[in-house]
Formats: sequence, C-alpha cells, structure tokens
Amino acid sequence: MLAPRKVKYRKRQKGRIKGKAQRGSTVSFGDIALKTLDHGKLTSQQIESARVAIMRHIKRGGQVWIRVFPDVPITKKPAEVRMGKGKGAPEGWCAPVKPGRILYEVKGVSLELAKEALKRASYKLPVRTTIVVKEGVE
Amino acid sequence: MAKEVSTLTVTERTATGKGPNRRLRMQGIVPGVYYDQHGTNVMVQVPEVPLRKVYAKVGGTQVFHLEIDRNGKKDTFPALVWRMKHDPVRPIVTHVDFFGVDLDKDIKVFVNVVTTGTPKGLQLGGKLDIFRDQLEVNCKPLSIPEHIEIDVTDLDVNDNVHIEDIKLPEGVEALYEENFAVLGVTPIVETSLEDEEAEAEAETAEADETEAE
Repeated sequence: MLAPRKVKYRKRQKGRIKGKAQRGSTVSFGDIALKTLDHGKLTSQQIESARVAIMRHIKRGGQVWIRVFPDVPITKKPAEVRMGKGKGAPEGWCAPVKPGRILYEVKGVSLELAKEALKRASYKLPVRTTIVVKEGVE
Repeated sequence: MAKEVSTLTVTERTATGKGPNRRLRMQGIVPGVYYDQHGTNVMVQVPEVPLRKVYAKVGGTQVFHLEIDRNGKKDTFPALVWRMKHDPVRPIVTHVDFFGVDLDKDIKVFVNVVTTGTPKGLQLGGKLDIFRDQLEVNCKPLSIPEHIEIDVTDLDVNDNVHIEDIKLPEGVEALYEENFAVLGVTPIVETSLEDEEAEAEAETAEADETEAE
C-alpha cells in the first residue's frame, strides 16, 4: 500500500476540504481517467484495492497511473477508551481529494476495456466518480 | 483547392472581474480575450455552442477568422484558439484565449501526433508507446498541419521513431535540441498481480521500519 517513507510530524489536524481541484484535474498521462465528483479522503487501502480492481480487469498490456498519494496521517483512538487524554495513535494514511481531481489514468488498452476497469475501481472508492476521456482520443 | 476557413463572431466585453464573468457563464457565454504580437488586447465574450463548433473544426492549430463586434462595428482578424480553460468538474468552457496571427510571420505551435497502421511488433509481443503526444513546430500560420501523421506499420519490437525520422510538410520545421524518440514499440514486461502485491508489501514493511527508527 502507498505510504510516505518519512514524515516530519506523526499526527496532523483534520482540516476541511473546500473548493474544486485546480491542479491534477486534467488527463495528463493516459487516454482515459477516473475523476472524482465529490470531496473526500481516500485511504491507502481504498486506493490500493481500486488499483488492483483495474489491474485484474485489464490483465496485460496496459499502463495505469495513480494520480493521488496518501500522505496525510489518520489517527484513531483504541476501542472502549474515554474521550480526551490526547489524540489517538496513527493508524493509516489518506489522500484528501477535491471535486475534479483525476484519480487513475489508463493507457494501452481499448477504451471499452479501460472504461469497465475504471467502473470496477469506482466501486472501491468512497466518492462519486466519472470517467473522462482525453481530448482527441477516440 | 483552398481550405475553407471558419468564422467565429465574438462581442467586445466591457465588464470585467469574477462577478460579471460568472453571470456570463450562467447564460452560456464564455468570457475570453483576444491578443496578438503587436500588443492588441481586447476582452471578448462568445456563446459557448458556436465556440465549441468552431473548435471542433479548427482545434488549436488551424487559423480561422475572428470577427470582433465593437458597438456594431465589425473587425475581422486571422486567429488561433490559443488556450481553452475548462471547469474541473462540469464539462463547460470557463475562458478562452484567441491569438491574432500575422500570416507572414512564423509561429511556434504544438501539433498532435497521430499514428496510422498497426505495428508488426504488436504480434511479436510488443506494445505501441507514444512518448510525445505533441510536437513543437515552427511555420507560417496557414501551413500549420492539422496533425502529424506517423506510419508505424514497419515498426518491430524495440524500434523507435525519432524526431529526425519524421517527414513534415513543406515549410514546417520541428523544434528540438536532441533527437528524441517520439514513439516506439516496447516489449510487454509480464508482471503478475501477486508479484506486485509482494513488492508493495515489502515496500510497506520497509516504510514501517524507517518509521520505527
């Protein structure tokens, strides 16, 4: 699963995800892509399982790009613990995304196959998504 | 036979800023700007539907007639669609730049690469990789090719087409410093999902170790 090698601080404040994605909102590497329509946090597990769904469907020949990286730590308090007494322990990593952000790009396979693969990937994610095709690709 | 040149009529825009521009977009009108090499700078507005129709014909590489309506007085300029900005979520155009071209002066533009045929290397276990989707060319505005066509039929596995190998139309010159590969047929490397998963797990374990330190 994707995770940063080293971070400066182990825990981070949650923050809010506002506005639309400005960077990373165009299809840059592949021919077809999966774009989010919602804002949300994708955990590294979700990103990985969506990637596996794409790879299992396209099998061989294609190339996949993951355009998001989970570099924000998520913390969780243990079960049956009263509130307070400090922030919980780091549990995993997530990638906050804004509407319009490209999540995955695919190239090297037919558009029909890529569309089906991206559709399967979208079932693994906690956000509404749409499939976009690069301008000029038929 | 001479190519048919499209015409797009735009109106001069007086109101500026995000408020007036948002109101325009709500009416299906795209705010834009026209500029050229001589320093002309006119703010314009154009309905989205005709803009899309003209863009579908000319793309970013073909010259068309831009008719600017200034209080009923119409001026026509040869122009290119220089930049189109899209909304990140909705499929609408939010802004457009028109670049007025001087028909006698050379211009640098990026032109799309299009392949024809099926490489013979595909049957021998290769895949076609296009390393550069666009190439920068220098030419007169009316000689800009719609796209650069590359015949890939004879490409075997590990064969590349370099920029120097491409035959461009007369008067069109490619701009490059190194003779880079534009496309090629590369062998497919077989990696099973299990291998990838094992690799990913190893990486995670390594990251955990680093964190523990």
